[in-house]
Amino acid sequence: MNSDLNKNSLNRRQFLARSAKAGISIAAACSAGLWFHDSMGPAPSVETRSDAGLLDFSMTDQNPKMAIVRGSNRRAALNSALKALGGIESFVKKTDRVLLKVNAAFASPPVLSATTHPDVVSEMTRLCLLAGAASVAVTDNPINDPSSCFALSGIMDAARGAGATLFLPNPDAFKPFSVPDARLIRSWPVLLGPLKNITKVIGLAPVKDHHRSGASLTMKNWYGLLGGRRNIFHQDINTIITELALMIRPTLVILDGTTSMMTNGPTGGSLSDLKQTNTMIVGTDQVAADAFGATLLEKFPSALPYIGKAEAAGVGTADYRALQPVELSL
Amino acid sequence: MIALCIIDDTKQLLAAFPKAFIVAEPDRFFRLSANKLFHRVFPPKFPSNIEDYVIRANKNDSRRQTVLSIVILSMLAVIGAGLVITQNRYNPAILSKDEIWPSADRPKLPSPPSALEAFSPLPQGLEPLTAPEAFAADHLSDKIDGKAELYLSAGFIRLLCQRFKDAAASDLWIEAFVYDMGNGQNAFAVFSAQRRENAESLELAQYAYRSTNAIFLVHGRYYVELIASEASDQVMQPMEMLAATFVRNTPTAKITIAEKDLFPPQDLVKDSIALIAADAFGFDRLNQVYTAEYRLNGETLMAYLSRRQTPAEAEALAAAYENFLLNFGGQALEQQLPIKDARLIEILDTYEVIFSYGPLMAGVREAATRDQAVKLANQFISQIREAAGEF
Repeated sequence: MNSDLNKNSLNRRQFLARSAKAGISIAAACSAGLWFHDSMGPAPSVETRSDAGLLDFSMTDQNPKMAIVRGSNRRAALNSALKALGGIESFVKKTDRVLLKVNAAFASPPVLSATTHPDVVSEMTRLCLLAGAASVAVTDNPINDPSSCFALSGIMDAARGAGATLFLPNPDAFKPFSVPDARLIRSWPVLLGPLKNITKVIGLAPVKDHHRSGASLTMKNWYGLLGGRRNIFHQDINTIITELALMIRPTLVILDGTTSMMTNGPTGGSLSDLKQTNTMIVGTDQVAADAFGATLLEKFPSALPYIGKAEAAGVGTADYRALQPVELSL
Repeated sequence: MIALCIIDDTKQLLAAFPKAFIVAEPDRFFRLSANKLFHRVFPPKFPSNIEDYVIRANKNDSRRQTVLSIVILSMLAVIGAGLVITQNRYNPAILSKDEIWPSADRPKLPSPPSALEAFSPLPQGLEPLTAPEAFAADHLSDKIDGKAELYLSAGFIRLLCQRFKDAAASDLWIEAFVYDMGNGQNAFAVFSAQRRENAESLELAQYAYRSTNAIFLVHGRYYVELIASEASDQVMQPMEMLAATFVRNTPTAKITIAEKDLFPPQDLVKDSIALIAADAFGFDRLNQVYTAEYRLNGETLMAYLSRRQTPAEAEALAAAYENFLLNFGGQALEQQLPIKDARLIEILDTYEVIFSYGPLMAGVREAATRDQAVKLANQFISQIREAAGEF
C-alpha cells in the first residue's frame, strides 16, 4: 500500500510549482479571452459627414423651398422649377461633387414610367455641370442585374451622354450603417461607395403607386441605397421609409409627376396603368414633396402613413402649403 | 449540495489519513477527495476499508475517465448543436458579399417548363435578348420589388422570365413573365387583382386580355405577362403568337371557379369578378375573398364572398368583420334582410351588409345608399340560395 502511495509521489514544492503553473495558464487563457472580447460588437465602418451620424447633404443655410411646375415637357418643367427656387446655382456650387440618386429598380423601358425618366437624368446632369460641379455621378441599387436596369431604362445613356459617370453597385460599395435610434437600419449594408467624397445629393424619383406603401415617391426612392435581403422591410414598409428619410438629408429632391403610375405599382407594365399628370416638383423638403405627390395619385397624404411618421420624426412637413410653394404652368 | 459533499468527504478523509500523508502526497490526497466527490454524485458501493477504497479507486480510474470523457464529449455535442441552431437563425443584416449584391449567375432553379421551351418556336423575327431567369419566393422582390407581396400572399412558387427582341428593330423588345402560382385559383387571384380597366379580352386562354403594349393571361396554374417596350401593332402580333405558343406548349387543367356562379348576374360589371388572396378590405383575417362589382342607378358597389371550412367558421368570420368595422367607427343599423344574423352597417358614409350562409361568409360593401346595399344583398342571398338548391 505504502509503495503504491509513494509511487509517483509529489513533494510539496513540486505541488506548489505545478499549481502555480496551472494557475498562470488559466489566468493567461482568461486574459486572452478578455482581450479579444468585444462587448460593443462590430461598429459601422463608415465615415459620415455630420456629427449626428446621418448622411446630411442638406443646405442648412436655407429655409425649405418647393416649386410645382405644370407642363408636359420634363426638361422645361425642371428648368422652370429650379429657376423659381433661385436657380441651380443656389444648390450646386463650383467644385461640388454631385450624386444623383435615381430610381433604376427595374429593367423596363422609359415608356412604362417605372424608373426615373432619362430626360430628367440628363437635364439635371447638364444643369449641375453648367453650375460648375466638378463631377456628377448617377447611382442606384436595383439588386437584379443592375447593368440591364440602367441600360434598358435609358438612364445609362442619358447619364453618360450628359457627362455624368455611372456608379454600378458592387460588393465593396456596401458598408454596414446604422441610423441613430432606428429600429430597422442597424448595421445594415448601405450603398455608401458612391457617396464617398460627394458634397451634394439629389434624389430623382418618379410618381408611382406602390403595392405595399401606397406610393413610391422621393422618400421611398432611398430604398435603393439598401443592400442585403432588404425585401424583409416590406413587412414594415412605413417604418423603413421613415428611417430612410432620417438616414439621408438630400440637397434637393425632384419628383417627376409628368406621367404618374396610378395603378399596379411599383412595376406597372401596361400603359393603361399610367396617367399624364404633367407636374414636376422640386424641393428641399422630401416630406412636403411626397405629400404633394400623393395628390397626383389621387390620394390624401394622410392615407400614406409614412408621411405622417416622417413628419413626426422631424424630417419635414406634410403641410406642403406651409412652404408657400412656387406654382407655375408652362 | 456539492460544497456540502466536499466538506463532508474532506472530513472523512482527514480522519482516515495521517496528516503526514496529506503533507507528503497532497496531490494523491486531493485526487482521493475528488474520487469521493465523484462517487457522491454517482454513488458506488464504498468499501469500508480505506485501503480497499484506494485500490478500487485506482482500478476504476479508466472507467471514470471513460465516463468523464463521455460527459465532456456530450457537453461539446450540446455546444455544437447550439452553434448549429444559432447559425441557422437567419440574420439578414449579416451577409456574404454575394447576398449583399447577388451575382448575375445565381444558380437557376429547376424549371419545367423553361421560359425558352414554353415559348418555342419563337415567332419569326423574334430572338432571345437575355437568358432565362428564375426567381423563387425568397428572391422574387429582386425582380419585381414591392409587388412581390401580392404574389407571395397568393401562393407564388416561382417566376421564369426572359426578354426577346425584334431582330430588325433594336429598341423593340418584349419581356415575358411566367408566374407559377401553384393552382388556377391563385393564378386567377393575381390576374384579377391587376386587371386593367377597359382592357380588350382575348380568346387565347381561359382568362386573357391585352392593353396597348401588353398581354396578360391565366393558363392553368400559370399567370403570364408579356410586356413590350412600346405600344405598336408591330409588337402586338408577335406577342399574341408568343402567348399562343405558351398555351399550346403548356398543358394544364381548366380552372374551375364555382364561386363565380354565386354572384347574381343582374347589374354585374363585366369581367369584374376578382379574387383577393389575403388581407381583404384591410382585415387580416379575411382571405380568399371573391369580389364582384355592380352598377345600380349609376353607382358602383361591391358584393363579396369567401368560402370557409365550416358554417361555424363562416359565421365567426362575419361577426369578426362586423366588429372590425364597428371598431373603425361603423354603426350597426336595423335591417330586415331575409337571412338570419345578417348585419347592416353604416361606415364612412357608405353602407355594408354582412351575412353568412352555410360555409359562405358574404356581404355587400361601398353602397352609396342603404337601399342599394339592401337591394344587392337580397339579390345576392337569392342567388346563393338558388345555387344551393333551396328554390
